Amino acid sequence: MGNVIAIAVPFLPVVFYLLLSLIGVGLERKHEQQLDRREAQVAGFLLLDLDHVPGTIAQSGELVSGNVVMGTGYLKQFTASLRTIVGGEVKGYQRVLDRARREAQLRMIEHAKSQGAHAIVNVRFDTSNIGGVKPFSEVFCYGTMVR
Amino acid sequence: MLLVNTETIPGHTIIEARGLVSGNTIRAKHLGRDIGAGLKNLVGGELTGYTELLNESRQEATDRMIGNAMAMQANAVVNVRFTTSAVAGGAAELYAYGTAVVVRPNA
Repeated sequence: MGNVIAIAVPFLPVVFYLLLSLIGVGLERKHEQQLDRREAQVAGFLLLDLDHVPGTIAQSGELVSGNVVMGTGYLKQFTASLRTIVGGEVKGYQRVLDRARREAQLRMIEHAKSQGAHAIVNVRFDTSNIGGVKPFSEVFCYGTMVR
Repeated sequence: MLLVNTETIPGHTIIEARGLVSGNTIRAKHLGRDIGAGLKNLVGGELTGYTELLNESRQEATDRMIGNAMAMQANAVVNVRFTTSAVAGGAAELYAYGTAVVVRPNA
């Protein structure tokens, strides 16, 4: 028994780490479901990266934005580092940035909607790494809401 | 002060362009927040502390840009753009720029 514990102890951080990563996987799925719900709620809201809504004349316009900072989690950082050996798409990061972009966009839309706007024109996205060596990415999205 | 990122402002007419205005701020990460974010990253997902930090910082850069525009007697900034870049030592620069103009509401 004592031997088993002596062998198991060095592996505890790994187990702990995998357990937290597993929670992360669950949370990611939950977040994606939440995004689907919120996107359904704002369905029909017009987003354009043109500078006006064709065929309409807006009465007023105002800058609106949304941002989010996402950490990819160390497990994905590790699997991504393995991926760079052979190259190819990094699915783990792709999913994180996709969530971040949808979240930032939703925050912007939800704010614009609460202000009585019906569309956002000239939408721009800005993505940046703010974690230095850590894979923390910020997605910032902005545009002009029109009424 | 009216801010838009389009070249014109709906419902307004631009009378005069005053010139380019900009504002920036460079924020370093807070050690405590960085440790917190590092722990949160075990799970992954949104790092709320950083989201707020960057939001506030960008507001600061925007406010500085507005200050510049006011100094030029402008009442609106059109074609606003934002950029973010990481500078050495875990600090990020947030930069906002646009064209300061004088506008008049359409009658």
